This record gives sequence, C-alpha cells and structure tokens, in this order.
Amino acid sequence: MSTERAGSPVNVFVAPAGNGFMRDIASWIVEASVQTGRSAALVTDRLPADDLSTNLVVAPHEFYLLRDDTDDEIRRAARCSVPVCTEQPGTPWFLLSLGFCVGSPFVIDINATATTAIERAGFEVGRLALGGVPSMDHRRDPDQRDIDVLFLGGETPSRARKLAGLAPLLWDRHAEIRLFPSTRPIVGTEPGVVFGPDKYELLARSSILVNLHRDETDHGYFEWARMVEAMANGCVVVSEPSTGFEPLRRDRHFVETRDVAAAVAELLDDPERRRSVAEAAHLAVMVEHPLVASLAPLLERAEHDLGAAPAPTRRGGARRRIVRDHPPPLLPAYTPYSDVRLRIYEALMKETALQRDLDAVRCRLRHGSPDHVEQFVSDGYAAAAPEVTVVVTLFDYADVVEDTLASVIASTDVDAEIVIVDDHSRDDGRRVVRSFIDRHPSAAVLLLACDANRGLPAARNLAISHARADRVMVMDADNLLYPSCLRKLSDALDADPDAAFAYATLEAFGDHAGLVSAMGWHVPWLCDRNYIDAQAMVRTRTWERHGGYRTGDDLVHGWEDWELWLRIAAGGGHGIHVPQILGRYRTQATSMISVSNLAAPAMQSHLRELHPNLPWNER
Amino acid sequence: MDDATTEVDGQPATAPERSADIDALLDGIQRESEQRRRALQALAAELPAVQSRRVVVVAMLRDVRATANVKDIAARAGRKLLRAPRAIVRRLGGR
Repeated sequence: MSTERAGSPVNVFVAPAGNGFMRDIASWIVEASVQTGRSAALVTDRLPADDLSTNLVVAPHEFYLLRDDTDDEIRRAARCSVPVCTEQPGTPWFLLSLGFCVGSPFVIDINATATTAIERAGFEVGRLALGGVPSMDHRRDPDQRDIDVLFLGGETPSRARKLAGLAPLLWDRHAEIRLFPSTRPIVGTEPGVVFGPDKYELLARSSILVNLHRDETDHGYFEWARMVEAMANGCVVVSEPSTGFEPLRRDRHFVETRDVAAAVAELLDDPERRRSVAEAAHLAVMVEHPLVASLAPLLERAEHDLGAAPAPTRRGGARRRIVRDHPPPLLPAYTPYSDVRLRIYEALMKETALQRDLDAVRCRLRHGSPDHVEQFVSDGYAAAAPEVTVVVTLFDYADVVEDTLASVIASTDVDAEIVIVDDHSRDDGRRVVRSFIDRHPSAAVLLLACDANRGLPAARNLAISHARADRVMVMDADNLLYPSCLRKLSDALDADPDAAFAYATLEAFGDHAGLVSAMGWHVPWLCDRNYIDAQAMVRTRTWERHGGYRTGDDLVHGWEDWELWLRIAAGGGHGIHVPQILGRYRTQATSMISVSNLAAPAMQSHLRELHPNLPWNER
Repeated sequence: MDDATTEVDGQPATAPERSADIDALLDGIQRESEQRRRALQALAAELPAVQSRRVVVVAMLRDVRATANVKDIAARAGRKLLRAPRAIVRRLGGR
C-alpha cells in the first residue's frame, strides 16, 4: 500500500458542458468522498495530474473529448486517474469510452453488466454500486405527491410503444412523460430535462417512476442512477425485468413486471403497497447501501494503485485507440433516384392542382362560385360562448369522423364548439356529420361543407376563420381526444400567456403503436425533424399574426404544420408541451408511398430558405 | 364550352343536357388524371430514396448472367461504380 496517498484529497473530474447525468454522478461521488473523511472537489477545467491526489474521471469520453488535448496528454492524464464509466454496453458511447481508459490502473463502472463487458475488453475493473447521498433526499409527505406517474428518458421506438400502452390508464391522472432525443447530448437546458435538486424535487413529487429499457437489445440493463434517485425520494420504481440490480431485491425495493400498465394500475389503487415499497427502497439506498459504502474501498484501491508502478494492462486493453468521434461512413448515402423522385412529385402536384381546378369548375357551374360553402349548424351553436373552438378537417373519413366528434363532445370541464370543414369528401362523410349534428342538438357544431376541394391547409384556415373562441384546437377527422385534453391544454396556455400554442403527447394507435408530439418545444430539435403534430391548441392571435397555414406552396405540401411551427420559432414565439398523453393519433398501414417524402430533400432546403435564421444543423 | 348552340344528335341541346355533357367531360378528365396519379405512385414505389450499393452491384451481376447484352450492362455498371472511388478519393483528400 502506498501510504503517502492514503486519505489523500479526491478530485472528481467531469466535463463542464457535457451530459448533465454525468455531472450529477460526479457530484454524488464528491459528496460520498467527503463522507469518508477525505476532502473532495469537482474539477472541470484541467486534466488530472500526478499530484498525490486521488483522481477520478467521470465519463472519460465526454471529459476528454470536450477538451482540446493531444493523445499524449490524455494518456498521461489517464495514468494518474481512475475512469468512472457510466455507459451502457452495446451503445457506441460505451466503446468510445474504453479508448480513454488505457493506462489507468483500473476502471470503475456503475453497473454489473457493464463491469463484465469492460473486464472482457481487457481492463481491470471495480464496481461502484450506486447508493444514495444525503443531498438527494427531498422526500415529502405522500399526500403532497401531486404526480401519479413519471417517466424520464431518451425516446426510442420501444419505449414509445410501451408508454402508449399506458395512455388509457393515465389520461385522467397527473402523469408526466418526459422524453428527449436519444441522439443528442443532454446538457440540461432542454425542455423537461432536470438535474440535481430539480430532479430530486420532481421525484419527490411523484408516486411512481416507470423504468423502460431503451430497446430489446439492452438485456435488461438496470438504470442505477435513475433508480437510486427515485428510491431516495420515496418514489416507487416500476421496471421491466432487469439484471444487475443486486443488492436491491425485486418486489421488495422495486416492482418488476412484464406488464407495466397492469402493475402501475394496481399500485395507483394501493397506497399501502406503495408506502411499503417506497420505505424499504429508501432504507436500502440511504441506510443499508449508501454510496459511501461502495465508494470507500474503491478510493482505497485507487490510492494504492495510483501510487504504485503502472500495472501491465490485461490482454487487449492496451491496444485500444483513442477515437475522438464516431467515424462517418466512407461513402455518402446512395440516392440514385432523387431527381426522378422529385419529378414524380412535381407531376403528382400538377395532377392534384388539375383535380382541384376541375372541382372548382363543377362548383362554379353548380353554384355560380368556385368557393361556395354551405353551412349547417346545430341548435346549440348560436347560444354557445365557447372557450375553445375545435376545428376538424374532413376528407374521406366517413367511417371514423363520428368517433372523432364524439371524443370532442366528451371533453370535460370546458365549453367547446366544433367547426368542421368537409373538404368535398368523395364518401359519405357530410351525411355522417349532419346526422351527428341532428343527434346532438345541444352541442355547438358548425359544419362548413365545401363543394370544391381546397386541400388541408386551406381547409384548416377556413375553419379557423370561423372560430369564435380565442383558442383553437386543430384536429384531423381520424384522430381523437381524451376527455381531459382541452382543459389541460387551455390551462397550459393560461399559465404561459406568451406561448403561441400548446400541445400534448399523442398515443399513436391502429397499425403502429407509439407516441407522437412526445417532446418539449426546443427549436434545435424542431430543425432536425417535425416532432410536433398539427393536433395542438393554437391561440387565434397566433394564427392571425402569422397568416395561418401556408397554402399554394408545393414545397411544403404535407409539412404545413412543421412550416407553421418554424415560422413561429423564427418570429421569436414558442409552443408549450403538456407531457401527458391526452390525444390519440390514428395510424394506418398503407402501400401508398408518402408523397411528401418524394421531395424531402428539396422541401427541407426550401424550409431553410424560408427561415434562414433558425439553428439548422450543418449538412 | 361557350357555344350556346351545342347540338346533340342534330338537335339543339337543352340546358340540362349541356350540363350533363360538361359533367361527363369533366368526369373523363378526372378519371384520366386519377389514372396518371396511380401510375406515378406505382413508379415512385419502385424508386427508393436511398439504395444499398451492394444491391445495385448484385442486380447488375444478375443482369449480366441473364442477358446477352453484356457490353451495355458492363458500361452502365462501370459508370455507376465509378461514383464510389470518386467519393472515396474526395473523402480521403479532405483528411
């Protein structure tokens, strides 16, 4: 044992502008190091040096990559420090991080599955079993927990599919489904993402935390950091089957199940069970297995090994290179048909225009005007003083439009009117709507029956121009609302008077289960892709200020809602996300190729030209 | 269609008859447009946005084996395959 380092100061290095999760873990290690009687500090502005202190580097790939050091400097720093890895095996970040561990006496990881993988890669490894630290504990009285169910995590198709299954259970509860893109680093300024005390407060307000694995290939990776934070705050964890959670015990410290929805439903109705699991889990992570218990022997080992002569690295490890980025593919994507696809798109647009012209001629012959619109109102329409106007655009959805209208009038705690535009459907939709109006005389419904097809954006603009309320819920005729949707979106607009619009997460149902509009308003994300569906509550003043949906522009066809969100962003406005599943989005398997996708590259370029000042990604 | 004296079977057409003729004419144009749309969509479905180069090469080898017109196919394959080395050279040149 190298006695000169025993009890030496601990420096915990972490990237200042990296992933916020890593900074949280680093701060816990500092706190637990102080509990061992050592002095400890968080360091973000220099490399580890051989200065008789015990150096730990949390998430080495982030720490080194965000600096501008040479490979030699990194290797020197690695020799006088112990890396603390946190990445999940099987992800590119896991492999990236190993390149920065070469030269260190051993590697620490927080997960049993990962320690096995690191050992297999040729490194000496120690396991840091995450436990609680005193500053995590923000517990409050169970009666003060206003959030019934919480989910925090990166968005993946697997998670979205499983969360969609919770929708029928959660629409009349207070749930928070906070998702963020899995493809970008999370630094803490993104919407819905919280770290440190803010996160502990959120967990302390929540009764149940749902833990879903990233996808089917992660072999039940136990998300230790998130579990410990939840347990320290008395929030019951409901998790899919996991591995590597020992010394915690399933069904004592957390609920493990393949049927997350059923387990959540049972727990929501069983406060006594919630209390017993929460108390056992809190005791486990704060008293029986706190972080300091696991960290102390690792610090002693680090003190010894950092002071000793460098040990030969086991097979394979020493040969691992420092890779500073995921290498791009050598060849660009091969798109041999892009020109032909664009020409097909243009031809399709011409056919669409021709058919609209034919429709307009017929309308003119029949009514003397190409813009003839017939109006039908319900008995209850004239006297209504709506808080919200729900605009529904109908084109060939006779089989489902009644369900849509029924879901709107089932809304609770809100006075709403419906303005529905029949955009000259070719099916029986108009008759179905008129029959609905006749059977629901007290509902406030206005049907605008066009005798010439205008296209979706023009039909929406027509409907919104007839809105009497100062906020408009935009819907397609095949989608649905949960009863609490209008109330909660309207409340969100009340709470943020500057917000241009509010939107909630939607449950995709039908042929493809998943989530739509699942992430908060963040302009850089919006420049990546349109992740906010048109089904949103927009202030009429927003619509007036921006001129409504863009019409007559073939290069935004099908993307008019995205273009409107971008226009709002470019004008300095913002939307507000209600992170609850409050609507339903119908999906249908179709063999017909998406028309807009034919011209996607040209359309994306066009959006950039329309809004050049937005933070577009470099191409 | 501004001729007010359109005749059907030698008799001046009445207004309802003229209207029916116009509707029939418009319906015909519409049907033709629908047919063109379907043809275009079928064509688009055959043209993926992104294609695997390996699939292109395998398809060409299959064509070479299946047809006598080897010269044309080889020339076409050569033109397509030349794109890859050019892209590699460009990429390597930038490093």
